[in-house]
Amino acid sequence: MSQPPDEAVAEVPPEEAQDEPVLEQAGRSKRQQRVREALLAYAFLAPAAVVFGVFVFYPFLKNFDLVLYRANPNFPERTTYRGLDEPRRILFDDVIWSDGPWGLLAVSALVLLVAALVRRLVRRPSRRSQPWAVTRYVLVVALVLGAAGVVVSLNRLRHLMVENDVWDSLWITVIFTLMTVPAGIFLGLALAVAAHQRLRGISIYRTVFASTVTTSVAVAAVVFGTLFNPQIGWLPYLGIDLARPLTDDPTWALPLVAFVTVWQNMGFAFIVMSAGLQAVPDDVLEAAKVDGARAWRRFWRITVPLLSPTIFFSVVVGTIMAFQAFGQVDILTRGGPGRDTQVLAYAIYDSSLRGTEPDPSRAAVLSILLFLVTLMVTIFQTRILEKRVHYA
Amino acid sequence: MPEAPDDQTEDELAGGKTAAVVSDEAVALAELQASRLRRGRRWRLLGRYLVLTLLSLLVLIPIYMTVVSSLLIAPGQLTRQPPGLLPFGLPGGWFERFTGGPPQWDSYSEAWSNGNMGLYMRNSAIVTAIIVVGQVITSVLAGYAFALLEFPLKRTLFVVFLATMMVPFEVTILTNLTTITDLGWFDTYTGLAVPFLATGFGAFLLRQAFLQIPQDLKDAAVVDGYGHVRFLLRVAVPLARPMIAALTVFSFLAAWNQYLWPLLATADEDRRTVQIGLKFLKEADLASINQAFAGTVIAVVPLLVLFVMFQKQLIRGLTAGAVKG
Repeated sequence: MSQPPDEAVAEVPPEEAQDEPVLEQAGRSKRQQRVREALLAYAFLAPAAVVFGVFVFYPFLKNFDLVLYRANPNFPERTTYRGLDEPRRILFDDVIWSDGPWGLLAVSALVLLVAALVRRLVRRPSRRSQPWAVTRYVLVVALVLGAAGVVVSLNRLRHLMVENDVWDSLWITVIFTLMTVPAGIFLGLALAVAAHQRLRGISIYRTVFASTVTTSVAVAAVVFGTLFNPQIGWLPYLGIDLARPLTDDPTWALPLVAFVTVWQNMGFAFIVMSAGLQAVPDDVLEAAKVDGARAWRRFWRITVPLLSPTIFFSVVVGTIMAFQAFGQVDILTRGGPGRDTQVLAYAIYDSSLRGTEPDPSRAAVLSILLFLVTLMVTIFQTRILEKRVHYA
Repeated sequence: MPEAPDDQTEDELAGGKTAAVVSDEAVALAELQASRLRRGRRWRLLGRYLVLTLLSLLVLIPIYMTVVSSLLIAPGQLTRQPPGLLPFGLPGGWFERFTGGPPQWDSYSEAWSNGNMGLYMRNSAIVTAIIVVGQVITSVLAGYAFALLEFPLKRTLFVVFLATMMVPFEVTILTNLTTITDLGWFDTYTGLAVPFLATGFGAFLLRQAFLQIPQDLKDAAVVDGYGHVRFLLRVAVPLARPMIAALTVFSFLAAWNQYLWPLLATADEDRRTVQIGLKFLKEADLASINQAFAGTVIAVVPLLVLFVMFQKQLIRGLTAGAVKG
């Protein structure tokens, strides 16, 4: 009944043979085979699709529902449409410091600065904007922003700008990101460069550098939370005697959380940068060495531009992960003192039914905000940074 | 005095042995420079190792302090504040401040029993196992479908799968909590594991792996009359083993270190995982802080062991999206 195998193969047009190995028996018609294959594919995809549908897409969409409809506490099933009043209240009340013009001034200055930075990056590359110049620009900007983040955090300048809870959380998260992402990249790069040498026993160092990838946020937070405790920690060995723990200090709470985050991410940053460094071809560097280029120059003009995909990947992933930081805040400071470490993710948790101030609308608004930020960062990467990346 | 140039030329012309005729002074000078270079190189080598060691202290010191602190604080009371830097005594005087006491191994047994770390480890192990198995299976199936099957909406569905990576987890917690509670899965292993049984990242990885299968293998399978299922099990999966191993290690790490969801989905101690256990240990009173330190060590050691054993696979999993080309 069935045709011999070679005739079945000959029956299949070449294009189809490329993307579908027609592995079915030759007895059925091609259409039947395609239907069977499609059904098989859907069957294969079904488990994952169900999980995604129930636990990713449905909750995401439900946020909008939570925002727009008010649940009647007596009849939880019935919800009434209340429009955008609630989100408007959550988002736009008490936004800027009401006591004077300084808040407005500070916010305007900030907006202008960000616009200038982005515009510089977005401008069409002239023939002169070489990969190393762009990469150097990004690294310098990262350094400056990182330093700015630290300064703003230590001076608690954020009080100058916003009073509204939601934007305050966002602002804190931005500062937190500025404190962790550049530091992480520079540290990862330093470790990767140091461990890239051909020395005896270098693999031991590489294992040590990468080992923090096994620590979780809980482990890192417990380790540093207790080590920085004035009574049982190691600060007295450094000659520092504190009246109260760092985690209760409004100035140092966020930097502490940032430090713990950077430490915990060190392993991952090292692994990523190391992988990128290994992709830098040696022959180019050898040629440069023969041509007489010194080590520093070789590094900045050749290695770093060739590392630009990795650097940009680290910036994007680092930013996204920084915006989702939660565990270390929960263990170290619980969002405090006051609201000083209330990052976006923690604010969402706090507003959820298991937090301290349950407020489903506020939680939903914060969730949508978090999603939008993540989306914008990703779009920024694919549209703008990707075009400036130098692919060897 | 050196007759070097002429002699050398003659030797070169002769094409014979190059008896480099150089003066004694030149030889002495060359030797001095060579030894200076060697010493210089040794210093530079030392400098490099020094830098490497200093950098590794960043990682090692907190770990060391944790281990030492877990051994130095007697359970039930704080004998020293602060506990000391070394797990043994040192002669008095200036060294006194660094002295610890005899190591208190009780911290670990206490953390395991009173601190419930044993229970938490079991819970973490079960939940992690379920998640890892689930993620590997769903990713293999999905990856195979996207790589080797043709069906309508294939591209759209692939984008949808990738899009799940775009939605931050915190965005879903509100509703997921309600869903889990309504299904009666609050405080259960099911509730802890089910939301994570599939991952877009895993599907992406496995699709990459399956796309690498050479065409002649596929043609041979056609000739041999293999169905898709058989091809998957007999050919595709064995070939994709490195990627599957990478995904396994990566998933294990992510699942074991999860924090937010176990915090939300459990209230009862019975189903608490290791990470949440650590939080509660830390928040207990200062007198039992040794349990917190010991608990931290207990929580990290399995991962460290796995890491040292499967470093390569883990790195492959982590860098799958990072490095282009």
